[in-house]
Amino acid sequence: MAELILEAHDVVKNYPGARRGAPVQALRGVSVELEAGKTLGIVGESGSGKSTLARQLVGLETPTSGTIMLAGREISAKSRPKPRELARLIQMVFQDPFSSLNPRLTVREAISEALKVHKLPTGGGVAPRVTELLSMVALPERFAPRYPHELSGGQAQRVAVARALAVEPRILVLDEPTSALDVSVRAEVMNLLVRLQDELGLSYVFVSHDISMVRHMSDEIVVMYLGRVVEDGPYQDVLDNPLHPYTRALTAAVPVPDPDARTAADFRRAAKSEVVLEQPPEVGCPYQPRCPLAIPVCTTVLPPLVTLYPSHEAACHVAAAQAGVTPAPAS
Amino acid sequence: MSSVPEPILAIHDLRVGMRGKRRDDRAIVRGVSLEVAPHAKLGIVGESGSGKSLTTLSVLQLLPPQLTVLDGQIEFAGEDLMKASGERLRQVRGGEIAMVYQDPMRSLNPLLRIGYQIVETLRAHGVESEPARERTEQVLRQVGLTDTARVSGAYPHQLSGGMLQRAMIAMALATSPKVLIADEPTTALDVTIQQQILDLVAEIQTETGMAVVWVTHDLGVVAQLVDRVAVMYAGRIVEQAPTRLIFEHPSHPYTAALLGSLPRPDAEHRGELQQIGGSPPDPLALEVGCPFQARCPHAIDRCVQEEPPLLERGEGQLAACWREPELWQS
Repeated sequence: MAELILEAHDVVKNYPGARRGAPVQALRGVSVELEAGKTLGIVGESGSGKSTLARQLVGLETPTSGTIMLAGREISAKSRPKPRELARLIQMVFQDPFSSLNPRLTVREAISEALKVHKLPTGGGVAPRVTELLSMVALPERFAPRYPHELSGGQAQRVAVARALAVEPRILVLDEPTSALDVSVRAEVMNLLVRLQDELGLSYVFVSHDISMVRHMSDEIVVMYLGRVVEDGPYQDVLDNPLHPYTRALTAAVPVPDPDARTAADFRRAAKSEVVLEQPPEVGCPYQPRCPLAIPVCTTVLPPLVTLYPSHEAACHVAAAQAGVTPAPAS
Repeated sequence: MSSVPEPILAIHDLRVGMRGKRRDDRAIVRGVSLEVAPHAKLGIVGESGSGKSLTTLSVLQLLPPQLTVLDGQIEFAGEDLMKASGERLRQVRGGEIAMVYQDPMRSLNPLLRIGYQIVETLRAHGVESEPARERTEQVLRQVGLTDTARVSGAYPHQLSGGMLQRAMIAMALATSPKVLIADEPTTALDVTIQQQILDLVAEIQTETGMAVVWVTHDLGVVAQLVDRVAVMYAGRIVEQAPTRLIFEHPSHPYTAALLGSLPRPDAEHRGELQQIGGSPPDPLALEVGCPFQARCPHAIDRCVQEEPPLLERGEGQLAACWREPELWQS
């Protein structure tokens, strides 16, 4: 089996609640795996915990409980590598390059800064390395003296990628890397990311609500709902044959650029009980109030994430019954 | 447009920009004409800087202070809104023509309860308090916010993004407008919520016959919702056609390139997406010739020298491209 470069096990993240309120449970026991050189796509609505998970992975925050293993290094409440060590392993590219780049640093300064902090490159000059990084993201040298406001969205995102790559990380977390860009330059950034992955053997965690982009990029997909993984598996299985009614609602809701496309109306309507969004039921399946397929057991027992088909997992009583799997009662 | 019904809203040759004092006027929207009839849904597609939002803001004269309508007419039910008095415009705004914007948090007053804000809108349009309260409850129900008491009594921060955008739509619908102008109203929302909003607007439109102008950069939304599309680039409409034709038979290289750059479900996994080189031009630094020319794979000398006019290409399709006849008509 290929090397697991990233392994999150039962990660829980709680934030203090407002005033005397209960803590907000942003992650309620999430486990994901990523093979070296592959892409893990994470999809879900806002509030599903996908960005919270990304923040735990890159060490911006520490999980309340659970363990994350990055290339054999442990991150948990008890132990974590030094920030600089962690930064050499995993880097993040954010949605909006204009807010993630310092407006008062030129492209050259922004990339050099990352190199200098890490005393890189060992034994070599900073300047040639900056040129090399720029050429990796297909930006000519003449962009080096420019400030972010002199760049287009696509160019700025390339600089953000170059800066992330400066420390030669093994994993990139891409948090909505194309969402803030003009539609006509998204393809360019996607093509760049695919090429860099092939050339450098990078592993990607791709967080996005744009399901067509996630599909294009990812090998494996994890669907999150209210802090839990509700379905995961290879991208075709999850997106073409979704098992969980939430995944079905999500994929059906993606507007397809084809006037002939008809989406499954019942699953679209499934999401209509918006009032329950922030307050899942105390017991049973958290998706049950919105679910068109709910059966009595869904109101009483939390469905565990179980393997229903080879390498395809879902947390749904109905899907489990259809697959002929009797899930063990949730603990 | 060749369709029979009289347009309820018609924009003729609109130019928006900065009025020059000691220099020439600088236009960002450069001659846009659009029409929408009752029951019709028009989509305006374009990237940031294409002038799509300025076009819609001009309709109700809500442009930012440094910008002004340089030229053109805006006709609403036969009335020239450019000549309308301030008093009349206040009646039209939020009354006969309603607008919904991208970010509901910024369009609502954070210090006032939702219900109060909708009632106030109605009161501003001459509805008495009691009927206004009844109408508020009715429209909240209509947009699926069935717990009207809770929603009415809530402050904006107490509702989710989807609920707020529904409340905004309820507010827009309260006065039974003849035209709804929606500027990227679902861009900030999750796809599931977006789908609800699209369904909701379609449903209400069937009931009331209001015309809808939907501004977006999402071609998927266009395909699902509207029946006619105007594609804007660098302040002009470069293509306009019935939705089906735009997707089956795009007539402008920009439209074709946009469609080609989307990752489609049947495309090769991780395969190369069709890239559009370069980036959208600065609307204030346009050079002569076709503004898409520098990024266009089909550009010829003429494209560099002369900007192509928007011409009828049959079947209600218009395109602004010198090479359209030879490239696309086969």
